[in-house]
Amino acid sequence: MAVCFAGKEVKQVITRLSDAEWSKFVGKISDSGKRSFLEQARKWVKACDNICDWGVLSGKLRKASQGKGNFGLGTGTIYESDIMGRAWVGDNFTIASDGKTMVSIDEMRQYRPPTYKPNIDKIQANFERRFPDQISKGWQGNGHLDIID
Amino acid sequence: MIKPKITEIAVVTSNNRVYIELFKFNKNTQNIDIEIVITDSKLIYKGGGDIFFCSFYTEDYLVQQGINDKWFPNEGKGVVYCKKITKEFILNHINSIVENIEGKTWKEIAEKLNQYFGWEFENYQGFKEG
Repeated sequence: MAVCFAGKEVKQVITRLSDAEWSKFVGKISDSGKRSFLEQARKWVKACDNICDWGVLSGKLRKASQGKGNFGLGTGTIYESDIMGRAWVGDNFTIASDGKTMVSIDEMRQYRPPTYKPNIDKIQANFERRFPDQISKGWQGNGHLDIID
Repeated sequence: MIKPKITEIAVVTSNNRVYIELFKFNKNTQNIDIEIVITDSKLIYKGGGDIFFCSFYTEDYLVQQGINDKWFPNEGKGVVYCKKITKEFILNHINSIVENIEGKTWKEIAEKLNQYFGWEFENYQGFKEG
């Protein structure tokens, strides 16, 4: 969520910048470099605008938090997936020693960033959870989000 | 015919996911949960893979803890009992299964692997609106 707010702030900054302010902000840069940066920034801002349907995202997260076994969560972009993953594990999460998996501080939830799954020939992210009374350390609930980027 | 290819084997601890090469086994390791990421050998360039699971328990641990329903994750699939848990034992067990499987499609391979391991697409419930 913080990322999205940051995106809105960037949008405000970019649209307000005069040429003089721009120079002050990024220093000397060629016109092509400026165009390239702006193009990237606009894409990012557009992505931010498109994904701010918090109702849809929170609905998917609610499904993930209620599901048992292996189940689908529908589709989303990589950006949406990462925002959902960040919300799934909450504050003070840890990054597992594989350098990519995020685990919540209470060790009950895990977000596995998108990877290729040969079974469906698609990229998917996993939203996994443990049940309070389980003995094994495995993940008993596993929500799959299809990535459509 | 295509063959499965292991891309990752990791140990699942309560708060971490550690590649088996980095995990520190010791003589007190009595139960361990393993994740195996396996892909189609022809699609290895795409990275990733389907996730399979198995668990290893020592016989001593079962005796100490007693057996009840909670002992059998994935309905007992992928659960292995042994005298002693070592990295070599785990890798030999997994490799001996994976190396002997082949199929015409990934689905066929995955279903064969699913006879030995839990699988993230086992009894998969597709997305339903609402």
